[in-house]
Amino acid sequence: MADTAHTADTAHTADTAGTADTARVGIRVDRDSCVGSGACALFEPEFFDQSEDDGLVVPRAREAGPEALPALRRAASRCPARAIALVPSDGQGSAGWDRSD
Amino acid sequence: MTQSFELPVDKRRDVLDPVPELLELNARAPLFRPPGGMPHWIVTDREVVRQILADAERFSSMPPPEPDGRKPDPHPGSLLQTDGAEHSRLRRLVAPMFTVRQMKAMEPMMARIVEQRLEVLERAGRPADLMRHFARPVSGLILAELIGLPRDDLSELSRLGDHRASGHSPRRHPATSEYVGHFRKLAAAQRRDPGEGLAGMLIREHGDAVSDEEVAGICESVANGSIENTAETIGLGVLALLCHPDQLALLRERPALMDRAVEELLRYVSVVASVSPRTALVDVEIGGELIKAGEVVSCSVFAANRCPYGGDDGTADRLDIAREPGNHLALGFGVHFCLGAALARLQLRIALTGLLERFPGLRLGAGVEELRFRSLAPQFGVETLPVLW
Ligand code: SF4
Repeated sequence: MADTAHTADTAHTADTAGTADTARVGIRVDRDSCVGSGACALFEPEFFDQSEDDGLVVPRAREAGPEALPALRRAASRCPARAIALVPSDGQGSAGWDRSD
Repeated sequence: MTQSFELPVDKRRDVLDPVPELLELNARAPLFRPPGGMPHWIVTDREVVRQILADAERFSSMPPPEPDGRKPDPHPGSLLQTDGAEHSRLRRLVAPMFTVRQMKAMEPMMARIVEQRLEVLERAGRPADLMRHFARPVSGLILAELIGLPRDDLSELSRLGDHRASGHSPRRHPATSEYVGHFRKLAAAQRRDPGEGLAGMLIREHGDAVSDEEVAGICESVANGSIENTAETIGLGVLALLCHPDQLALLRERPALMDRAVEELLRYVSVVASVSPRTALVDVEIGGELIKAGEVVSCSVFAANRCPYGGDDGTADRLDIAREPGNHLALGFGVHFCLGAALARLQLRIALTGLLERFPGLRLGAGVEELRFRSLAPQFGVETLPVLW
């Protein structure tokens, strides 16, 4: 559990991951961990919403272009439940900043 | 100044800043044992605080025994003092009512209350006490609307709240059982005739699946987590801005920075100095120390937010309302992360925007050295905040 903290933080700070920044990025959310804080929906409403039924996160997209990376990394780093993960978009190979557990 | 010397180091502040002793302790080790009594550990390091708050499997949020060894009373419906499946069940009952969208729907109500209190503040004449006329009533009235609490209950609840805040052991204070009793009465009344607020909504939507005791406990946790936290954050937030005229001027010049300013003020003032204690369920090695099973850990989010930490850019102690909102810990972290985060953020934004617009010449009506602070309360804050305009 504690380890994911590091990966999440690394995802946030390793903003200069070079080549990875040109790839599309997959957005994964873990609704079992989400605590419905709304931090993602508040700060990055373009990518995240909250369900009317249970208050938990609903991503608005499954993936995004490289220009969205900084915003998505901030969202992942701010999430108090570490429920947001960025993964290489399908077929793009692996990148240094993911949390593909 | 006003602080007495026996206060634990994580409760002391130099007005808005960490005391030098806290900075030194933080520089020496991520966590330390304060002399004698509880808690057994105080954690100041940002990363270790995050690890502990994220680790609900090894760290329980159930209240630790009293210093005299007595077991605390059970507290049904308390969101902060439950673990695991029970906590998730409670949280999922209320989370849909606290989404960003739900809170936005309440924006007109919040704006109306803020307007009314700005009138009252202005009529009170210069210098007026911002806490008494604005910060406390704003957060109290909004909370009353949200829960469905009769307005008349508010003065009584705030009186009881003040008593609890002044006590050393709030959980054992006689005002506490009166306070709890108040919410039990509310739950029973709402069961007979469910209203529009949170209490009525819980009863309408979940019926017998949620007991009166739980409705009372949930409403009490929400009230506890909201009334004083928001009021004190408004008060200290305004004080922080008034003490940093460059930041205040920047915010007046660029009102679009308000969302960032709110986030930064939450971090900077961190009214909840330490989150409710965690108890280790097993031996845990963390930050180079061994926390033994049964030991009580206090995580200082104030230190974590304000002391320098590895990887920080050296500005953790500076108020910078334009900074990119980061992952501060003022609203907690992990499964107990503040349920009312969206509520708090919106309230702060509306209250601060209203205040700055109404009073272009807002300034302190007393010297900072004359202010008295609430150091014993669960939320740090300023007792009175005289302002001029
Ligand atoms: S920030 Fe995290 S915990 Fe909060 S709603 Fe989004 S995914 Fe859930």
